[in-house]
Amino acid sequence: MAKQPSDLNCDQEESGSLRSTERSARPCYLRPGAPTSLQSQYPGNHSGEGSSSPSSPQGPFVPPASPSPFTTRSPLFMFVRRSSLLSGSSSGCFSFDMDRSPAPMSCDKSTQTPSPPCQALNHFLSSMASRRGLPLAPEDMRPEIWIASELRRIGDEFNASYNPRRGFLDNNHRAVNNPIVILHLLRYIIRLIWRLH
Amino acid sequence: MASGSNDKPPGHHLRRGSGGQPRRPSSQLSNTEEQVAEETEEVFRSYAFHRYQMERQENAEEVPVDPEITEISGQLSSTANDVGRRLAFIGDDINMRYDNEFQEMLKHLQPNMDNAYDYFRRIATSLFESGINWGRVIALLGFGYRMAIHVYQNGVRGFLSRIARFVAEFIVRNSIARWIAQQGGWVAALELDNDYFKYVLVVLAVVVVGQFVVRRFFSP
Repeated sequence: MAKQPSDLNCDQEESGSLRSTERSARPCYLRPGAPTSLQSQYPGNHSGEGSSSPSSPQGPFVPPASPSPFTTRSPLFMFVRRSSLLSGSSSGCFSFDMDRSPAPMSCDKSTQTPSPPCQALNHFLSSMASRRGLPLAPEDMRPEIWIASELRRIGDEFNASYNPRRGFLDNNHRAVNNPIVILHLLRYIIRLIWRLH
Repeated sequence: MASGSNDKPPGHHLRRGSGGQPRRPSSQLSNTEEQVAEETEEVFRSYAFHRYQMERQENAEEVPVDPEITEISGQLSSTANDVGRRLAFIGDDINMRYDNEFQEMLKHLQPNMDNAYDYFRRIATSLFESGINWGRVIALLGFGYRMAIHVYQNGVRGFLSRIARFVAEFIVRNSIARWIAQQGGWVAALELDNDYFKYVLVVLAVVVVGQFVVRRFFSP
């Protein structure tokens, strides 16, 4: 993996605390919450370096070029990062001691939850699309298929609120099927009566 | 759900009226299914009439005067009229929520006299691909009505009766008539109720009774 410019900067800062043999093969990583994004700094993580990663159990142990985002961002690793077992550098970077930590797994982007800013952006885009009136039709979708899916959504939403009229016993039976709704209603009613009292 | 034979325009094998040969050689229509099939066109026309009346009352300037719809009133049986009125009342709720979406869809589709049936058939087939429920049936009627008004606004006359035949034809061909018959026929639509409205009423009633009980028995 080609060394990123930020890696070089970090290496220079913590040159006093790291051994030179480790430094050449091991980049340092910013703590979570650092101003720059980890994802933007290490785009190589997304491609999954598993194929070339030396993390397989059979091969000789060689520190990988870059650990997965999980190891750099997970709260589980926060204590490892802060522990005195690791180097005492206070440069804003931390080193990942491969002797004490499991080898990072390959990064599968499809199983990762989007980051909070990414989720916020997606939510914003979808709300803007719905404010326009309709969700954007995919370019390759025929208009009649797209319209049918919209009608299906409308019909199903509508069907959820309208139902054939039932007798009192049937309603009770349905209420049993939705106990959480009934419990919430009872809670609000009791609170309201309590306040009035 | 659609087959090659479905590409024919409506009226090829849907025979209205009683007697004669069975409509579908492979699976004969039961009495109730046949009744549903016969009532469908009338229900749709009634639905269109009442929706049109509601829209004219709300906004007379924007709704074009369509004599084909205004003449419907005298041609309906009482049951179909009641069902159509009920569905129109429910459909008005859909219309208030999704009118912009219907307009956007029709702008996208650009239906005319030649392609309307084909579009309608494909949309309806896809709509019911994953199951049938009353919401989807009403969404289909609402879209059919919107399509009729849209085509009329583009200067084509006589489209409403054609689309009423499309609807009747489609529900017979695609087993939707059987589903409606299993629900009790079109009259079952008269029983459709808004559950949320009922819940609100029940909660209000409980609050009033609770307040009465507290004041009556627990206040000093």
